[in-house]
Amino acid sequence: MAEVGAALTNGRSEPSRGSIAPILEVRAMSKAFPGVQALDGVDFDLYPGEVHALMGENGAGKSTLMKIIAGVQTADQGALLVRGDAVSFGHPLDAQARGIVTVFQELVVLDNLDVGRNLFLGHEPRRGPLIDWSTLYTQAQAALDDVGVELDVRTPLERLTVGMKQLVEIVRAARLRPDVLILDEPTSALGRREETLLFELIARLRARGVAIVYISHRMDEVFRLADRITVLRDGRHVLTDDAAALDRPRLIASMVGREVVDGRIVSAQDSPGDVELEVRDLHRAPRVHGVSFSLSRGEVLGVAGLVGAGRTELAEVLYGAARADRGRIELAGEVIAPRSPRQAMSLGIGYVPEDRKADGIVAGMSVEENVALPGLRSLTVMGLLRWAKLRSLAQHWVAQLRIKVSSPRQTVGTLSGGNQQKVVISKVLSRDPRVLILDEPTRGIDVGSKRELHELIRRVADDGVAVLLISSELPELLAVADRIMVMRGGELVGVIDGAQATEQAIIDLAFSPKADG
Amino acid sequence: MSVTTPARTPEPDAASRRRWVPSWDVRTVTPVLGLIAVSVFFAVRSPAFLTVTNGRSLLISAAPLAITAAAMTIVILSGEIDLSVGPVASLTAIVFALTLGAGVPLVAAIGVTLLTGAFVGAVNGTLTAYGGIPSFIATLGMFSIADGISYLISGRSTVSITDLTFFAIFYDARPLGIPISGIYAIATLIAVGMLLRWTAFGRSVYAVGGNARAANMSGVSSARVKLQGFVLAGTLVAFAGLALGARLASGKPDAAPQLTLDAIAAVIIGGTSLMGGRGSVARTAVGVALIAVLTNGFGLLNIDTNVQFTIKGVIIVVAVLIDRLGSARS
Amino acid sequence: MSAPTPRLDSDADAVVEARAALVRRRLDRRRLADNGIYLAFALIVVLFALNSDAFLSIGNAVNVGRQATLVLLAGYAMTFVIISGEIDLSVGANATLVGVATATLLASGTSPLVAVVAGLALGTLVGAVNGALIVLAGLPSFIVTLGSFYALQGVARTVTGGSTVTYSADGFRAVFATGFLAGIPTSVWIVLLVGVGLHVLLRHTPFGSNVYAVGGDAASAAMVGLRVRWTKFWVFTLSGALLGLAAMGPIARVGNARPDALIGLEFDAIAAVVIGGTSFSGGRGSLPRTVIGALLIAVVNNGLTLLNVPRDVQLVIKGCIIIAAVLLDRWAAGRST
Repeated sequence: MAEVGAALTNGRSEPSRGSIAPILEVRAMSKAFPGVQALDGVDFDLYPGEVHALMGENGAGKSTLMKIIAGVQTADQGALLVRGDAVSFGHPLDAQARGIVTVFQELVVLDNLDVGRNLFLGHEPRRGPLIDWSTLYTQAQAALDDVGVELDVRTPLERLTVGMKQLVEIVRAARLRPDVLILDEPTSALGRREETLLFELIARLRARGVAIVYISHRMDEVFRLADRITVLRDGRHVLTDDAAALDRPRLIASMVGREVVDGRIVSAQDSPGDVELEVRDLHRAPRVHGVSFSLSRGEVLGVAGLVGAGRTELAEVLYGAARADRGRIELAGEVIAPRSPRQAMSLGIGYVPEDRKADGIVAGMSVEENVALPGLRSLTVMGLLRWAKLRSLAQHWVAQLRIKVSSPRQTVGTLSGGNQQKVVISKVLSRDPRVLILDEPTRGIDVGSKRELHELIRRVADDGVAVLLISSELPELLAVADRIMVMRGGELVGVIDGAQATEQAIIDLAFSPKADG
Repeated sequence: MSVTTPARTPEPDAASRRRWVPSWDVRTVTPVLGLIAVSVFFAVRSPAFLTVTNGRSLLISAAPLAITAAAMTIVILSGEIDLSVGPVASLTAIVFALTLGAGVPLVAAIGVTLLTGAFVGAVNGTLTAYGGIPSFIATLGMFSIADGISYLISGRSTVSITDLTFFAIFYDARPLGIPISGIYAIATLIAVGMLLRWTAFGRSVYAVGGNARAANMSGVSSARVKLQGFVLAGTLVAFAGLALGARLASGKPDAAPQLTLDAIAAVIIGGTSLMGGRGSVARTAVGVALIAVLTNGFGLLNIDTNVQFTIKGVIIVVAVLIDRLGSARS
Repeated sequence: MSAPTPRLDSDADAVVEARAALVRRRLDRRRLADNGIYLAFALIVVLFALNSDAFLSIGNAVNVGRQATLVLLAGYAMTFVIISGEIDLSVGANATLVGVATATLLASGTSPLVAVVAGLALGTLVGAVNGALIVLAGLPSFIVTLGSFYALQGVARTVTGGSTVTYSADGFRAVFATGFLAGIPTSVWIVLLVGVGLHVLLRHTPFGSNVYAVGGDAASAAMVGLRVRWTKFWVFTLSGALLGLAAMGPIARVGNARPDALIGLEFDAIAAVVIGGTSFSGGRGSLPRTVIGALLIAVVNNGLTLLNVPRDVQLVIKGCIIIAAVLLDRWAAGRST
């Protein structure tokens, strides 16, 4: 296969698609999850020796398509063809056997082993029954040197940065001599040096004839690397074209334009109230650099930005999970510096975490107990819990937020994602917060429930709470936010009025190339 | 759940009516059925089983295990484990015997004993919750330490207890014909059950064992709750040590060599999850009763007492297998 | 970071630098703690040697080695189990059962060779059943082996009727306890040779490599195609075989087998593994570490005995060493909060 590639390409020239058959074809592929049509009749093809970028907003269907090709998920409909043969993978190893290797965003490496052993996991060279360590480490070192990664092969992986670990995983993938290499947001954790190494490695693999699917949000690197670009939107194929034939505005235009199904939710109040939260020149290494903003009662302030722009880190400082390096936070005119979520909560800052399952709910407990958890002590008389009061509290919120439960005693783990999220929100609201921080509140929630949550957020704000809404879904911000602030590389790069904002304007700010920051 | 169909309003009455009835899933039913089946079996096979005398001896022999298992339930529900309970029970019995022997008044001696247990629990809890040591290892170390101290302070021998008041209130009394130690055991189970059900601390134990991160995020300090759980457990184990001392009329090292694992076994057989956050003292009570009835019944039938070990082992694995099947279905 | 920088990336580089410095500092601590156990061992030996003339003699060294053989063999088994991310509480019960079974066979006049092979086979079978229950039924090893802890004890007691099994087989006793080869007890030779073999198995074969991978992150190991369940099954089977072997020493030394002789061995084995610095959460550690852990306990006990410190204090000290070893490890890893 290396010979095919050598014949095919040199430098950045176009692979001559007329004479060469695609190595991978996706035909009319569909995949639905409860409440979401993740893929809707998508076509996609891939030729040896090309870098094919796959782009689209969050929820556009990139990950689903990639996971089906990689053998992690199976399609509902449609065909997957490898070298013209229809295939169906049940496990990533099935895909690997067909020459398709995937590097997932979530690292699949073993922290407890060193670099060399990670590179050869399950394929250790042997001498008799024993592992031939000297060959293993020599070959491992050669593989790293080959790519230009300066690493000692005996370094335990736990001592590397996430970016370096990712490079090790990519080198391992390359070592398997794949015909197709799928890279899912490979640069999200990389530093600049590591990024350069990665791009060189990709160029080398491409020259060898490997077909590369490159999933990324970053426009500059897509234009730098890709031969062709495919854009998905709402699970549908929008465009496939040569990178040279495309430019930034056209690409952005094709990615946005998702319809905001039900339009904007308007506030019942005319104008926001007094300033509740004032943040001045907040720093927290490495992801928050000099952020300043103010948030008023009754206002929903959206926070947009790419993954890694520093949004979650900003929230962490505000609700006490991390300390600011410098800067000032004022709540209702008083300077605060919360040291723990517990303290932030008692000050009046409520936080709805991004990872609902890990940080939000106690899945095995009932709805009423989850709702009451932060205020358990206030529900006791002489040390004994007043279950009746606890139950009526839960019933109040179940009614307020229209949580669909058979009874407040239902176990939270058995609820749908949207209703679990409402439980988390009522848990926070039950403490009567002045400021409510929501981190990706509708992630993994079906469309109907999303709308309901958006209306809920608006209602909470109209009741006088200051709301900070962190979201990667632009339609969501456009639907509820009064103002939208855009972060990039840890800095605030602009604030847009919610009523006038467009996806185009937000993406322009969020995507502006790294170098001219 | 579907978005298009209108939400059915839940029946509020149905919910409140079922308030006091535990959910009868397979995990709850099986141990209870097992207990009933075993009891019926022994009742049929041995006329001595269903007698008042036998009931008394059953209660007396099960008391230390019941109290210890209640303590273990708290720790396991909070997501931890305490391997040191057996040696600590022996140690506290010796501490009591020695304190009493030194002429300290009974009430003060009981106080010292309970404080000893609480202190040991505090050490376990601090090492686990604040020192970052897995509780399995911290309490394994304490296992060895408590054993060693027991031998040291007892001079490797039996320290007898002679206080008649103590025997009266911990062993001989038979209010309503029920042995007092049995009453203590049942009272402990009920009290711990109430504590877990009716107090903020109790519910925090479940939350911390169920999801420590979410509990922290909700303003419940999981480290503090775990520490409190260990301290409470240590105090209860000292109470079990008093019951043990009363039964043996002495304190001696290694007085209850299998108590730790028996307590864990009782908790697991009852259907409380080792992962924390799921289970109850009521379940543990069933587990303790099952173990106690088996021991007692085999004794009555003159069946080789050694077989009990095998049966206990099989029951543990079967109980967890059923638990696994039960959770797979839901 | 305080200097105003127009470019974002120089900021990021500074951050990377700061982080690298932090990692370096942690590494130094890590290295210290990694080797701390060897240091502590050497220190203790020197300490005892200064205080007791009898301590630093060949006779005493042999004595320590002999005392440690049982815990060493059980510790080998536990090392594999713990590195694979599991736990085995049935160690003592398994060895006890093998002990009484072998002694019963010997007492009935079976040839020692047959008795030993049968004993080893029994131990292996027990391990395999543990392993099968754990990987097939997907049950936690803590519970499965707690179950077999009771069940095996029960079988051992039932078989013997609760009484001690006495036998006489001098050849057997010579091989496993009383004999000497080149001035060193045969039991020490066995532990040594088996240890070297197991070290090679764990460090230098694909199977051993899989044990580390599976214990480090079973999900990732499965993703890259390692056979997680088979690996765990073989670990428990191997553990059972080693416990069969471990059972021979004690019965050979005293010439009989008691049905509760080795209960509690599991905790000594876990202590040896943990003191050596093998992580309780799996994926890290080594056999030599367990050897040091077991020897550390043996040396401390031996030295204290020579110094006429009561045996009871030794128990307390053992407990403290367990906790201190893990505290040191936590400190070295650097806690995040």
